Amino acid sequence: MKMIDVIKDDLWKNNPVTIQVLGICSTLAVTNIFLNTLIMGLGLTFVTAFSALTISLIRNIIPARVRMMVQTLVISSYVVIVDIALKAYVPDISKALGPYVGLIITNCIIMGRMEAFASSNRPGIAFFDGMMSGLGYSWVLLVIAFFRELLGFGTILGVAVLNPLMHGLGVTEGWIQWSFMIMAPGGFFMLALFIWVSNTIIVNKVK
Amino acid sequence: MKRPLFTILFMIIITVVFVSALAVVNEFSLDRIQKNLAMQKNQSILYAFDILPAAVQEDRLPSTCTTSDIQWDKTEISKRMKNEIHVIRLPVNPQEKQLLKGSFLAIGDSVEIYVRTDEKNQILAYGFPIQGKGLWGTITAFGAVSSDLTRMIGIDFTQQTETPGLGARITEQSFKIYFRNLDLDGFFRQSKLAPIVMVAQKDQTNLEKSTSSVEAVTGATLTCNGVLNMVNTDLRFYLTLLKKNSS
Repeated sequence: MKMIDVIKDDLWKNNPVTIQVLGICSTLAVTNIFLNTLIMGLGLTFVTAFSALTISLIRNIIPARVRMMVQTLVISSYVVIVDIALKAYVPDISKALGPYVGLIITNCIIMGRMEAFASSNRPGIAFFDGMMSGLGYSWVLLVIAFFRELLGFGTILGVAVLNPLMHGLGVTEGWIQWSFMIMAPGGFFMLALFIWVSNTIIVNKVK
Repeated sequence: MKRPLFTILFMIIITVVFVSALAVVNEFSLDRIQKNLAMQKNQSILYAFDILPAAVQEDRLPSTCTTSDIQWDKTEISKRMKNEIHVIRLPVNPQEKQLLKGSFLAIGDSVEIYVRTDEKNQILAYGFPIQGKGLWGTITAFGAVSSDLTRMIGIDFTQQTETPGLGARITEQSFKIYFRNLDLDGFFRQSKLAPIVMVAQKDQTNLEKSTSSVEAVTGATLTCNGVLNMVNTDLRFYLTLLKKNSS
């Protein structure tokens, strides 16, 4: 498979979140704050890319009966490395993310790419596919997080945006937060809207 | 027969390889992680005791500011902890332990109390860990009260797994500020009312006018209830203990 096809597939045509509908739990859980989403996305991209590389390197010697156990072992090892790295070098962000870093192990996108791609492709392309899958997941989450944080808190990356804007427009109460956007149902609706829009665009292109 | 043996050997070898790699990574970063944890703990203790860097004015901190956002010089943290904060142990009798019914604190026969003193070794405040049940897990905090036990100096939430953006906002300045100068007289009155209450909205902080109420986080009812219960329960225990030992 060519690299350009991998890019198109993972970022858009076969996006893990909007098309394959994988990784939904973390999509709903972390996307109420943009910074948390960014770190989650980077962490998942790292884990997916290096897990894919590792699995691809040993793909010819993994016994078929234990391939999923091996994949889980590899994925969880990289997740632990990410967790340790966050605790050691950015402890404040590690604290903010809390249990969500460990939950990267449960993200079905990673196992899905190991099974569908890494275990049957060469290391170079497998690493690239892992990275692109992670980025495909990340950009969708970041778009959702942008709107959820903006409408839910009136901020972007913690910086107040809508409140000063409302005051500037003469609205004395300022921005009234959409609490619904911060809670899980807000995530559901944003994700559903995103899937609808992206699928409509893809269907129209096919026509 | 050979195939199962290869499978078992393969699993053993790959597990050993990855676990060893993780052990090495852990070993190299353990020191750094422990220093980070100690630094975070000290920052929390200093915040609860209302000790902030000289350049920081608390009334100018953003409402979403957490303790880790406050810029400290690391050497200053160590210096202030060493010079101003001391740890003592107070004995706890079974009747006093009964006060912790429903609390998450695990207390033995004695309990650690942090004491803030001035240059003349006069006691300014007492501090202690507080623990309770949040919505998703245990909430751990550090609270401080004045030396005469009438006012709360401050609180900081050191560990919590509440919903980011909702319950997790208890770590933000906009919630914690209401614990500064909180009136603790309710703990010494015979009353069925809870000593500290939580209200939906307050027009003034307790620094402006001391009351026994704090402002809740909108949309985080269960987390706020958890915080209220743990503060009421654990403070009752510590204030009783400190009052008995104050002489």
